[in-house]
Amino acid sequence: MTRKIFYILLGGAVSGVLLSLVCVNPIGGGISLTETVVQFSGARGPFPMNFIMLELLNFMIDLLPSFLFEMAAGIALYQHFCTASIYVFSRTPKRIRWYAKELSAIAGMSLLFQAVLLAAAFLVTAFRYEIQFTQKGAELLLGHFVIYSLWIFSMAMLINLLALFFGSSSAFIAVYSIQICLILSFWFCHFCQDDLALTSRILRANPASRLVMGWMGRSEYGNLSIPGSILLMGLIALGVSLAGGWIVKRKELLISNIETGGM
Amino acid sequence: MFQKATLQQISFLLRQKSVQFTFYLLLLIVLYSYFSAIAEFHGMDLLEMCGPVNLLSISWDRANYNQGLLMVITMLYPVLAVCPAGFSLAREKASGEQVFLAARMGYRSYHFSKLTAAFAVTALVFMVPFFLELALNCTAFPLDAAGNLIPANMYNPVYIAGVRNFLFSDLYVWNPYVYAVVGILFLGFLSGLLGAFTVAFSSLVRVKYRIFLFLPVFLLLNATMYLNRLFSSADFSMGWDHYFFLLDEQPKSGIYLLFLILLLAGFSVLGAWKAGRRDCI
Repeated sequence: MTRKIFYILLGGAVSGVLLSLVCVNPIGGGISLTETVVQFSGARGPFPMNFIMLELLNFMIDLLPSFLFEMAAGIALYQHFCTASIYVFSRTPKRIRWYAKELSAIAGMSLLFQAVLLAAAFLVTAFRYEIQFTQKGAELLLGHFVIYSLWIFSMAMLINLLALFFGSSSAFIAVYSIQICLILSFWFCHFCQDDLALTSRILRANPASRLVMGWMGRSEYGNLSIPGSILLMGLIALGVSLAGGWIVKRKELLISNIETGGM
Repeated sequence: MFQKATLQQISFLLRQKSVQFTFYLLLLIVLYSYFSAIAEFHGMDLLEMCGPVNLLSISWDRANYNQGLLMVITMLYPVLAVCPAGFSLAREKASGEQVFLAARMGYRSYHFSKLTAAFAVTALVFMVPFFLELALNCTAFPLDAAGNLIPANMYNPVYIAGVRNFLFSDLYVWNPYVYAVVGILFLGFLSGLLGAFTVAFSSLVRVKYRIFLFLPVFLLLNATMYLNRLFSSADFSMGWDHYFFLLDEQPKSGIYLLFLILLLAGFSVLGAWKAGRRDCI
Protein backbone atom coordinates (compact mmCIF):
# COMPACT_ATOMS: atom_id res chain seq x y z
CA MET A 1 0.00 0.00 0.00
CA THR A 2 2.85 2.38 0.86
CA ARG A 3 4.44 1.71 -2.52
CA LYS A 4 1.14 2.44 -4.29
CA ILE A 5 0.78 5.73 -2.44
CA PHE A 6 4.37 6.61 -3.32
CA TYR A 7 3.76 6.00 -7.02
CA ILE A 8 0.54 8.03 -6.92
CA LEU A 9 2.36 10.92 -5.24
CA LEU A 10 5.24 10.71 -7.72
CA GLY A 11 2.97 10.38 -10.75
CA GLY A 12 0.74 13.22 -9.59
CA ALA A 13 3.67 15.52 -8.87
CA VAL A 14 5.42 14.89 -12.18
CA SER A 15 2.13 15.26 -14.09
CA GLY A 16 1.34 18.49 -12.29
CA VAL A 17 4.76 19.97 -13.05
CA LEU A 18 4.47 19.01 -16.74
CA LEU A 19 0.92 20.31 -16.98
CA SER A 20 1.98 23.66 -15.58
CA LEU A 21 5.04 23.96 -17.83
CA VAL A 22 3.19 22.94 -20.99
CA CYS A 23 -0.27 24.46 -20.52
CA VAL A 24 0.11 27.63 -18.48
CA ASN A 25 1.45 30.40 -20.69
CA PRO A 26 0.05 33.83 -19.88
CA ILE A 27 0.82 36.78 -22.09
CA GLY A 28 1.99 39.06 -19.28
CA GLY A 29 3.92 38.28 -16.09
CA GLY A 30 0.81 37.62 -14.06
CA ILE A 31 -2.14 35.32 -14.43
CA SER A 32 -5.52 35.10 -12.74
CA LEU A 33 -6.58 31.94 -10.92
CA THR A 34 -9.46 31.58 -13.40
CA GLU A 35 -7.13 31.61 -16.38
CA THR A 36 -4.76 29.19 -14.67
CA VAL A 37 -7.47 26.61 -14.03
CA VAL A 38 -9.02 26.81 -17.51
CA GLN A 39 -5.59 26.41 -19.11
CA PHE A 40 -5.28 22.99 -17.46
CA SER A 41 -8.14 21.80 -19.64
CA GLY A 42 -7.65 22.94 -23.19
CA ALA A 43 -7.82 26.74 -22.99
CA ARG A 44 -5.11 28.73 -24.71
CA GLY A 45 -4.53 31.96 -22.83
CA PRO A 46 -7.84 33.62 -22.08
CA PHE A 47 -9.59 31.77 -24.92
CA PRO A 48 -11.54 28.60 -24.14
CA MET A 49 -10.97 25.46 -26.15
CA ASN A 50 -12.53 25.57 -29.59
CA PHE A 51 -14.01 22.71 -31.62
CA ILE A 52 -11.20 22.41 -34.16
CA MET A 53 -9.35 19.11 -34.34
CA LEU A 54 -5.93 20.52 -33.44
CA GLU A 55 -7.26 21.85 -30.14
CA LEU A 56 -9.08 18.58 -29.47
CA LEU A 57 -5.81 16.75 -30.08
CA ASN A 58 -4.00 19.08 -27.65
CA PHE A 59 -6.77 18.45 -25.11
CA MET A 60 -6.22 14.68 -25.48
CA ILE A 61 -2.53 15.24 -24.77
CA ASP A 62 -3.44 17.33 -21.69
CA LEU A 63 -5.44 14.31 -20.47
CA LEU A 64 -2.31 12.12 -20.49
CA PRO A 65 -2.00 12.12 -16.65
CA SER A 66 -5.62 10.94 -16.42
CA PHE A 67 -4.96 8.11 -18.88
CA LEU A 68 -1.86 7.05 -16.96
CA PHE A 69 -3.81 6.97 -13.70
CA GLU A 70 -6.60 4.97 -15.35
CA MET A 71 -3.99 2.50 -16.61
CA ALA A 72 -2.46 2.12 -13.16
CA ALA A 73 -5.75 1.94 -11.23
CA GLY A 74 -7.40 -0.13 -13.94
CA ILE A 75 -6.10 -3.35 -12.40
CA ALA A 76 -6.69 -2.43 -8.75
CA LEU A 77 -9.85 -4.55 -8.52
CA TYR A 78 -9.12 -6.86 -11.46
CA GLN A 79 -5.85 -8.15 -10.00
CA HIS A 80 -7.76 -9.93 -7.24
CA PHE A 81 -9.62 -11.95 -9.86
CA CYS A 82 -6.45 -12.96 -11.69
CA THR A 83 -4.54 -15.08 -9.31
CA ALA A 84 -5.97 -15.34 -5.83
CA SER A 85 -9.69 -14.94 -6.18
CA ILE A 86 -10.43 -18.31 -4.62
CA TYR A 87 -8.23 -17.36 -1.67
CA VAL A 88 -9.72 -13.87 -1.39
CA PHE A 89 -13.34 -14.88 -1.65
CA SER A 90 -13.10 -17.94 0.57
CA ARG A 91 -11.78 -15.70 3.33
CA THR A 92 -14.22 -12.88 2.68
CA PRO A 93 -17.60 -14.41 1.89
CA LYS A 94 -19.28 -10.99 2.04
CA ARG A 95 -18.23 -9.88 -1.38
CA ILE A 96 -20.09 -6.57 -1.36
CA ARG A 97 -18.31 -5.50 1.82
CA TRP A 98 -14.99 -6.44 0.25
CA TYR A 99 -15.96 -4.63 -2.95
CA ALA A 100 -16.92 -1.46 -1.02
CA LYS A 101 -13.52 -1.51 0.65
CA GLU A 102 -11.73 -1.83 -2.72
CA LEU A 103 -13.97 0.85 -4.21
CA SER A 104 -13.11 3.33 -1.48
CA ALA A 105 -9.40 2.55 -1.95
CA ILE A 106 -9.66 3.40 -5.67
CA ALA A 107 -11.70 6.52 -4.87
CA GLY A 108 -9.06 7.56 -2.35
CA MET A 109 -6.32 7.05 -4.95
CA SER A 110 -8.24 9.21 -7.45
CA LEU A 111 -8.67 12.04 -4.97
CA LEU A 112 -5.04 11.85 -3.84
CA PHE A 113 -3.76 11.82 -7.42
CA GLN A 114 -5.81 14.85 -8.43
CA ALA A 115 -4.91 16.73 -5.25
CA VAL A 116 -1.18 16.14 -5.75
CA LEU A 117 -1.41 16.98 -9.47
CA LEU A 118 -3.19 20.27 -8.88
CA ALA A 119 -0.96 21.16 -5.94
CA ALA A 120 2.20 20.53 -7.99
CA ALA A 121 0.78 22.42 -10.98
CA PHE A 122 -0.09 25.42 -8.84
CA LEU A 123 3.21 25.47 -7.03
CA VAL A 124 5.12 25.54 -10.31
CA THR A 125 2.77 28.17 -11.76
CA ALA A 126 3.11 30.33 -8.63
CA PHE A 127 6.89 30.01 -8.91
CA ARG A 128 6.84 31.11 -12.57
CA TYR A 129 4.12 33.77 -12.48
CA GLU A 130 2.15 35.87 -10.04
CA ILE A 131 -1.28 34.27 -9.55
CA GLN A 132 -4.14 36.70 -8.83
CA PHE A 133 -6.82 35.13 -6.68
CA THR A 134 -10.38 35.33 -8.03
CA GLN A 135 -13.66 34.00 -6.60
CA LYS A 136 -14.56 32.36 -9.92
CA GLY A 137 -11.10 30.82 -10.10
CA ALA A 138 -11.52 29.23 -6.69
CA GLU A 139 -14.89 27.76 -7.75
CA LEU A 140 -13.37 26.47 -11.00
CA LEU A 141 -10.44 24.97 -9.12
CA LEU A 142 -12.70 23.11 -6.71
CA GLY A 143 -14.88 22.05 -9.62
CA HIS A 144 -11.83 20.85 -11.56
CA PHE A 145 -10.66 18.78 -8.59
CA VAL A 146 -14.02 17.12 -7.97
CA ILE A 147 -15.00 16.59 -11.62
CA TYR A 148 -11.66 15.14 -12.68
CA SER A 149 -11.48 12.93 -9.57
CA LEU A 150 -14.93 11.50 -10.30
CA TRP A 151 -14.08 11.05 -13.99
CA ILE A 152 -10.80 9.17 -13.52
CA PHE A 153 -12.43 7.08 -10.78
CA SER A 154 -15.28 6.13 -13.13
CA MET A 155 -12.95 5.32 -16.02
CA ALA A 156 -10.59 3.30 -13.80
CA MET A 157 -13.55 1.32 -12.43
CA LEU A 158 -14.85 0.76 -15.95
CA ILE A 159 -11.47 -0.65 -17.00
CA ASN A 160 -11.51 -2.93 -13.95
CA LEU A 161 -14.99 -4.23 -14.73
CA LEU A 162 -14.37 -4.74 -18.45
CA ALA A 163 -11.07 -6.45 -17.63
CA LEU A 164 -13.00 -9.12 -15.71
CA PHE A 165 -14.47 -10.24 -19.04
CA PHE A 166 -11.96 -9.27 -21.71
CA GLY A 167 -8.57 -8.88 -20.06
CA SER A 168 -6.76 -5.70 -19.04
CA SER A 169 -5.39 -4.68 -22.46
CA SER A 170 -8.73 -5.00 -24.26
CA ALA A 171 -10.47 -3.17 -21.42
CA PHE A 172 -8.05 -0.26 -21.67
CA ILE A 173 -8.42 -0.06 -25.44
CA ALA A 174 -12.21 0.00 -25.05
CA VAL A 175 -12.26 2.72 -22.37
CA TYR A 176 -9.59 4.79 -24.19
CA SER A 177 -11.61 4.53 -27.41
CA ILE A 178 -14.79 5.62 -25.60
CA GLN A 179 -13.01 8.71 -24.30
CA ILE A 180 -11.60 9.48 -27.76
CA CYS A 181 -15.06 9.14 -29.30
CA LEU A 182 -16.55 11.47 -26.68
CA ILE A 183 -13.88 14.09 -27.36
CA LEU A 184 -14.10 13.65 -31.14
CA SER A 185 -17.86 14.29 -30.94
CA PHE A 186 -16.99 17.91 -30.07
CA TRP A 187 -15.82 18.23 -33.66
CA PHE A 188 -19.43 18.06 -34.86
CA CYS A 189 -20.09 21.26 -32.93
CA HIS A 190 -17.62 22.92 -35.33
CA PHE A 191 -20.18 22.48 -38.12
CA CYS A 192 -23.17 23.71 -36.13
CA GLN A 193 -21.53 26.53 -34.17
CA ASP A 194 -24.12 28.98 -35.52
CA ASP A 195 -26.94 26.86 -34.10
CA LEU A 196 -26.46 27.49 -30.37
CA ALA A 197 -29.37 25.27 -29.37
CA LEU A 198 -27.94 22.23 -31.20
CA THR A 199 -24.42 22.89 -29.91
CA SER A 200 -25.81 23.18 -26.41
CA ARG A 201 -27.67 19.85 -26.75
CA ILE A 202 -24.56 18.06 -28.02
CA LEU A 203 -22.37 19.43 -25.25
CA ARG A 204 -24.89 18.77 -22.49
CA ALA A 205 -25.37 15.19 -23.62
CA ASN A 206 -21.63 14.52 -23.70
CA PRO A 207 -20.10 13.93 -20.23
CA ALA A 208 -16.59 14.70 -21.53
CA SER A 209 -17.64 18.33 -22.10
CA ARG A 210 -17.64 18.75 -18.30
CA LEU A 211 -13.87 18.21 -18.33
CA VAL A 212 -13.36 21.49 -20.19
CA MET A 213 -13.45 24.03 -17.38
CA GLY A 214 -13.21 26.92 -19.83
CA TRP A 215 -16.73 26.11 -21.06
CA MET A 216 -18.40 26.49 -17.67
CA GLY A 217 -21.00 29.21 -17.62
CA ARG A 218 -20.57 30.19 -21.27
CA SER A 219 -23.74 30.36 -23.34
CA GLU A 220 -21.98 29.50 -26.60
CA TYR A 221 -20.69 26.27 -25.00
CA GLY A 222 -23.91 24.85 -23.63
CA ASN A 223 -24.11 26.99 -20.47
CA LEU A 224 -22.67 24.17 -18.38
CA SER A 225 -22.60 24.65 -14.62
CA ILE A 226 -20.15 23.29 -12.07
CA PRO A 227 -22.79 21.86 -9.70
CA GLY A 228 -24.58 20.25 -12.64
CA SER A 229 -21.32 18.79 -13.92
CA ILE A 230 -20.41 17.42 -10.49
CA LEU A 231 -23.88 15.88 -10.26
CA LEU A 232 -23.52 14.24 -13.69
CA MET A 233 -20.04 12.91 -12.92
CA GLY A 234 -21.29 11.71 -9.53
CA LEU A 235 -24.14 9.84 -11.19
CA ILE A 236 -21.75 8.21 -13.67
CA ALA A 237 -19.44 7.18 -10.82
CA LEU A 238 -22.41 5.83 -8.85
CA GLY A 239 -23.71 3.95 -11.88
CA VAL A 240 -20.35 2.33 -12.55
CA SER A 241 -19.94 1.46 -8.86
CA LEU A 242 -23.40 -0.15 -8.65
CA ALA A 243 -22.79 -2.07 -11.88
CA GLY A 244 -19.48 -3.22 -10.42
CA GLY A 245 -21.18 -4.44 -7.26
CA TRP A 246 -23.69 -6.42 -9.29
CA ILE A 247 -20.93 -7.96 -11.45
CA VAL A 248 -18.63 -8.79 -8.55
CA LYS A 249 -21.46 -10.44 -6.62
CA ARG A 250 -22.33 -12.67 -9.56
CA LYS A 251 -18.91 -13.28 -11.12
CA GLU A 252 -18.02 -16.92 -10.77
CA LEU A 253 -14.85 -17.76 -8.97
CA LEU A 254 -11.77 -17.89 -11.13
CA ILE A 255 -11.65 -20.93 -13.37
CA SER A 256 -8.97 -19.82 -15.77
CA ASN A 257 -6.76 -16.77 -15.73
CA ILE A 258 -7.98 -14.29 -18.36
CA GLU A 259 -4.61 -12.56 -18.49
CA THR A 260 -2.42 -15.62 -19.12
CA GLY A 261 -4.90 -18.26 -20.27
CA GLY A 262 -3.62 -20.84 -17.81
CA MET A 263 -5.26 -22.24 -14.68
CA MET B 1 16.86 -21.84 -38.11
CA PHE B 2 16.37 -18.16 -37.39
CA GLN B 3 14.69 -17.52 -40.74
CA LYS B 4 12.39 -20.53 -40.40
CA ALA B 5 11.47 -19.53 -36.84
CA THR B 6 10.79 -15.93 -37.88
CA LEU B 7 8.57 -16.97 -40.78
CA GLN B 8 6.65 -19.34 -38.51
CA GLN B 9 6.18 -16.59 -35.95
CA ILE B 10 5.02 -14.12 -38.63
CA SER B 11 2.56 -16.68 -39.94
CA PHE B 12 1.28 -17.29 -36.41
CA LEU B 13 0.99 -13.58 -35.56
CA LEU B 14 -0.90 -12.77 -38.75
CA ARG B 15 -3.69 -15.08 -37.62
CA GLN B 16 -4.09 -13.39 -34.26
CA LYS B 17 -7.25 -11.42 -33.51
CA SER B 18 -5.26 -8.35 -32.42
CA VAL B 19 -3.58 -8.12 -35.84
CA GLN B 20 -6.85 -8.57 -37.67
CA PHE B 21 -8.61 -6.01 -35.45
CA THR B 22 -5.93 -3.35 -36.08
CA PHE B 23 -5.82 -4.11 -39.79
CA TYR B 24 -9.59 -3.91 -40.26
CA LEU B 25 -9.82 -0.72 -38.20
CA LEU B 26 -7.19 0.96 -40.39
CA LEU B 27 -8.93 -0.41 -43.47
CA LEU B 28 -12.20 1.11 -42.28
CA ILE B 29 -10.52 4.49 -41.81
CA VAL B 30 -8.91 4.25 -45.23
CA LEU B 31 -12.16 3.31 -46.99
CA TYR B 32 -14.03 6.13 -45.25
CA SER B 33 -11.30 8.53 -46.38
CA TYR B 34 -11.51 7.24 -49.96
CA PHE B 35 -15.28 7.41 -50.28
CA SER B 36 -15.51 10.80 -48.60
CA ALA B 37 -12.88 12.13 -51.02
CA ILE B 38 -14.89 10.81 -53.94
CA ALA B 39 -18.07 12.39 -52.59
CA GLU B 40 -16.36 15.74 -52.09
CA PHE B 41 -14.20 16.04 -55.21
CA HIS B 42 -16.36 14.21 -57.71
CA GLY B 43 -16.66 16.17 -60.95
CA MET B 44 -14.04 18.80 -60.07
CA ASP B 45 -12.12 20.38 -62.92
CA LEU B 46 -8.65 18.94 -63.54
CA LEU B 47 -7.00 22.34 -63.16
CA GLU B 48 -8.52 22.80 -59.71
CA MET B 49 -8.10 19.20 -58.59
CA CYS B 50 -5.42 18.21 -56.10
CA GLY B 51 -3.15 15.22 -56.53
CA PRO B 52 -4.17 11.73 -55.28
CA VAL B 53 -1.30 11.81 -52.77
CA ASN B 54 -2.75 14.92 -51.12
CA LEU B 55 -6.03 13.06 -50.55
CA LEU B 56 -4.51 10.24 -48.50
CA SER B 57 -5.80 9.92 -44.93
CA ILE B 58 -2.22 10.22 -43.67
CA SER B 59 -1.61 13.41 -45.60
CA TRP B 60 -1.21 16.62 -43.60
CA ASP B 61 -2.54 18.53 -46.61
CA ARG B 62 -5.86 16.72 -46.20
CA ALA B 63 -5.72 17.15 -42.43
CA ASN B 64 -5.21 20.91 -42.75
CA TYR B 65 -8.14 21.02 -45.18
CA ASN B 66 -10.80 19.20 -43.15
CA GLN B 67 -8.86 18.15 -40.01
CA GLY B 68 -10.59 14.85 -39.94
CA LEU B 69 -9.04 11.46 -40.16
CA LEU B 70 -5.39 12.22 -39.56
CA MET B 71 -6.28 13.60 -36.13
CA VAL B 72 -8.27 10.44 -35.40
CA ILE B 73 -5.29 8.31 -36.44
CA THR B 74 -2.99 10.50 -34.32
CA MET B 75 -5.20 10.01 -31.25
CA LEU B 76 -5.48 6.24 -31.73
CA TYR B 77 -1.93 5.55 -32.90
CA PRO B 78 -0.15 5.38 -29.47
CA VAL B 79 -2.46 2.50 -28.55
CA LEU B 80 -2.84 0.94 -32.02
CA ALA B 81 0.91 0.63 -32.63
CA VAL B 82 1.17 -1.84 -29.76
CA CYS B 83 -1.91 -3.89 -30.64
CA PRO B 84 -0.74 -6.12 -33.51
CA ALA B 85 2.33 -7.78 -32.01
CA GLY B 86 3.27 -5.99 -28.80
CA PHE B 87 1.66 -8.56 -26.49
CA SER B 88 2.93 -11.67 -28.25
CA LEU B 89 6.01 -12.31 -26.10
CA ALA B 90 4.27 -11.43 -22.83
CA ARG B 91 1.44 -13.85 -23.66
CA GLU B 92 3.85 -16.68 -24.43
CA LYS B 93 5.88 -15.93 -21.29
CA ALA B 94 2.82 -16.04 -19.08
CA SER B 95 1.41 -19.24 -20.57
CA GLY B 96 4.75 -21.03 -20.61
CA GLU B 97 4.83 -21.56 -24.39
CA GLN B 98 8.09 -19.64 -24.39
CA VAL B 99 9.87 -22.53 -22.67
CA PHE B 100 8.71 -24.99 -25.32
CA LEU B 101 9.66 -22.72 -28.24
CA ALA B 102 12.99 -21.66 -26.73
CA ALA B 103 13.89 -25.29 -26.05
CA ARG B 104 13.40 -26.06 -29.75
CA MET B 105 15.33 -23.14 -31.24
CA GLY B 106 17.49 -21.68 -28.49
CA TYR B 107 16.68 -18.76 -26.29
CA ARG B 108 18.53 -16.13 -28.31
CA SER B 109 17.10 -17.31 -31.60
CA TYR B 110 13.65 -17.27 -30.03
CA HIS B 111 13.92 -13.67 -28.84
CA PHE B 112 15.41 -12.33 -32.04
CA SER B 113 12.91 -14.16 -34.21
CA LYS B 114 10.09 -12.84 -32.01
CA LEU B 115 11.48 -9.30 -32.32
CA THR B 116 11.81 -9.57 -36.09
CA ALA B 117 8.35 -11.08 -36.45
CA ALA B 118 6.80 -8.31 -34.33
CA PHE B 119 8.57 -5.69 -36.46
CA ALA B 120 7.46 -7.30 -39.71
CA VAL B 121 3.83 -7.87 -38.72
CA THR B 122 3.32 -4.38 -37.27
CA ALA B 123 4.96 -2.84 -40.34
CA LEU B 124 2.68 -4.85 -42.64
CA VAL B 125 -0.46 -3.93 -40.71
CA PHE B 126 0.38 -0.23 -40.97
CA MET B 127 1.48 -0.32 -44.61
CA VAL B 128 -1.06 -2.43 -46.46
CA PRO B 129 -4.19 -0.31 -45.82
CA PHE B 130 -2.42 2.89 -46.88
CA PHE B 131 -0.94 1.29 -49.99
CA LEU B 132 -4.45 0.18 -50.82
CA GLU B 133 -5.68 3.74 -50.33
CA LEU B 134 -2.92 5.07 -52.59
CA ALA B 135 -3.87 2.58 -55.28
CA LEU B 136 -7.56 3.44 -54.97
CA ASN B 137 -6.83 7.18 -55.10
CA CYS B 138 -4.62 6.76 -58.16
CA THR B 139 -7.43 4.84 -59.83
CA ALA B 140 -10.23 7.22 -58.92
CA PHE B 141 -8.51 10.59 -59.27
CA PRO B 142 -6.54 11.99 -62.21
CA LEU B 143 -2.81 11.42 -61.98
CA ASP B 144 -2.23 14.67 -63.87
CA ALA B 145 -3.81 16.72 -61.10
CA ALA B 146 -1.09 18.71 -59.37
CA GLY B 147 -2.96 21.04 -57.07
CA ASN B 148 -3.11 21.00 -53.31
CA LEU B 149 -5.78 21.52 -50.67
CA ILE B 150 -4.35 24.66 -49.06
CA PRO B 151 -4.86 25.93 -51.89
CA ALA B 152 -1.53 27.45 -52.80
CA ASN B 153 0.05 28.30 -56.09
CA MET B 154 2.99 25.95 -56.58
CA TYR B 155 5.21 28.93 -57.37
CA ASN B 156 4.31 30.66 -54.11
CA PRO B 157 7.58 31.07 -52.10
CA VAL B 158 5.83 30.23 -48.83
CA TYR B 159 4.46 27.00 -50.35
CA ILE B 160 7.88 26.13 -51.78
CA ALA B 161 9.48 26.69 -48.36
CA GLY B 162 6.83 24.40 -46.85
CA VAL B 163 7.51 21.68 -49.40
CA ARG B 164 11.22 21.88 -48.62
CA ASN B 165 10.33 20.93 -45.03
CA PHE B 166 8.75 17.62 -46.09
CA LEU B 167 10.64 14.50 -45.09
CA PHE B 168 12.16 13.23 -48.40
CA SER B 169 11.24 16.58 -50.02
CA ASP B 170 13.54 16.01 -53.03
CA LEU B 171 11.67 12.80 -53.72
CA TYR B 172 8.35 14.65 -53.61
CA VAL B 173 9.61 17.29 -56.04
CA TRP B 174 10.85 14.57 -58.41
CA ASN B 175 7.78 12.32 -58.20
CA PRO B 176 4.97 12.62 -55.60
CA TYR B 177 3.89 9.00 -56.11
CA VAL B 178 7.33 7.59 -55.36
CA TYR B 179 7.37 9.95 -52.37
CA ALA B 180 4.05 8.49 -51.18
CA VAL B 181 5.33 4.91 -51.54
CA VAL B 182 8.51 5.73 -49.61
CA GLY B 183 6.50 7.67 -47.02
CA ILE B 184 4.15 4.73 -46.41
CA LEU B 185 7.13 2.35 -46.20
CA PHE B 186 8.69 4.72 -43.67
CA LEU B 187 5.46 4.79 -41.64
CA GLY B 188 5.49 0.98 -41.67
CA PHE B 189 9.14 0.95 -40.64
CA LEU B 190 8.52 3.29 -37.69
CA SER B 191 5.41 1.38 -36.62
CA GLY B 192 7.32 -1.90 -36.80
CA LEU B 193 10.05 -0.36 -34.69
CA LEU B 194 7.48 0.59 -32.03
CA GLY B 195 6.05 -2.95 -32.06
CA ALA B 196 9.53 -4.42 -31.69
CA PHE B 197 10.29 -1.91 -28.93
CA THR B 198 7.27 -3.15 -26.95
CA VAL B 199 8.33 -6.78 -27.41
CA ALA B 200 11.88 -5.94 -26.25
CA PHE B 201 10.43 -4.18 -23.21
CA SER B 202 8.32 -7.20 -22.34
CA SER B 203 11.35 -9.47 -22.74
CA LEU B 204 13.30 -7.47 -20.15
CA VAL B 205 10.53 -6.57 -17.72
CA ARG B 206 8.14 -9.18 -16.41
CA VAL B 207 4.74 -7.58 -16.92
CA LYS B 208 1.94 -9.30 -15.08
CA TYR B 209 -0.86 -7.30 -16.67
CA ARG B 210 -0.76 -6.60 -20.39
CA ILE B 211 -2.28 -3.14 -19.86
CA PHE B 212 1.19 -1.94 -18.80
CA LEU B 213 2.65 -2.89 -22.18
CA PHE B 214 0.95 0.19 -23.59
CA LEU B 215 3.13 2.35 -21.37
CA PRO B 216 6.47 2.50 -23.24
CA VAL B 217 5.07 3.55 -26.63
CA PHE B 218 2.29 5.64 -25.07
CA LEU B 219 4.76 7.57 -22.92
CA LEU B 220 7.36 7.91 -25.67
CA LEU B 221 4.97 9.30 -28.28
CA ASN B 222 3.20 11.63 -25.88
CA ALA B 223 6.56 12.77 -24.49
CA THR B 224 7.49 14.02 -27.98
CA MET B 225 4.20 15.96 -28.09
CA TYR B 226 4.94 17.51 -24.71
CA LEU B 227 8.49 18.35 -25.82
CA ASN B 228 7.03 20.01 -28.93
CA ARG B 229 4.87 22.26 -26.77
CA LEU B 230 7.56 22.91 -24.15
CA PHE B 231 10.08 23.92 -26.81
CA SER B 232 7.65 25.50 -29.25
CA SER B 233 10.21 28.17 -30.14
CA ALA B 234 12.73 25.56 -31.34
CA ASP B 235 13.83 25.55 -35.00
CA PHE B 236 12.28 22.18 -35.62
CA SER B 237 9.20 20.24 -34.61
CA MET B 238 9.57 17.48 -32.02
CA GLY B 239 6.10 15.95 -32.24
CA TRP B 240 6.05 12.40 -33.63
CA ASP B 241 3.04 13.16 -35.86
CA HIS B 242 5.15 15.53 -37.97
CA TYR B 243 7.62 12.76 -38.85
CA PHE B 244 5.31 9.78 -39.28
CA PHE B 245 2.84 11.20 -41.80
CA LEU B 246 3.08 12.72 -45.26
CA LEU B 247 3.16 16.28 -46.60
CA ASP B 248 3.88 18.01 -43.31
CA GLU B 249 5.25 21.55 -43.68
CA GLN B 250 6.68 21.89 -40.19
CA PRO B 251 10.48 22.18 -40.09
CA LYS B 252 12.14 18.94 -39.05
CA SER B 253 15.45 17.73 -37.71
CA GLY B 254 17.12 14.71 -39.25
CA ILE B 255 19.40 14.36 -36.25
CA TYR B 256 16.46 14.27 -33.84
CA LEU B 257 14.66 11.66 -35.96
CA LEU B 258 17.82 9.57 -36.31
CA PHE B 259 18.37 9.77 -32.55
CA LEU B 260 14.86 8.44 -31.86
CA ILE B 261 15.19 5.67 -34.44
CA LEU B 262 18.58 4.60 -33.05
CA LEU B 263 17.18 4.72 -29.51
CA LEU B 264 14.26 2.46 -30.42
CA ALA B 265 16.31 0.08 -32.57
CA GLY B 266 19.20 -0.03 -30.10
CA PHE B 267 16.93 -0.74 -27.15
CA SER B 268 15.08 -3.44 -29.08
CA VAL B 269 18.21 -5.26 -30.22
CA LEU B 270 19.99 -4.92 -26.88
CA GLY B 271 16.86 -5.99 -25.05
CA ALA B 272 16.49 -9.12 -27.15
CA TRP B 273 20.21 -9.90 -26.79
CA LYS B 274 20.16 -9.46 -22.99
CA ALA B 275 16.95 -11.46 -22.61
CA GLY B 276 18.47 -14.18 -24.80
CA ARG B 277 21.34 -14.63 -22.37
CA ARG B 278 19.01 -15.45 -19.50
CA ASP B 279 18.15 -18.95 -18.46
CA CYS B 280 14.78 -20.35 -19.45
CA ILE B 281 13.55 -20.97 -15.91
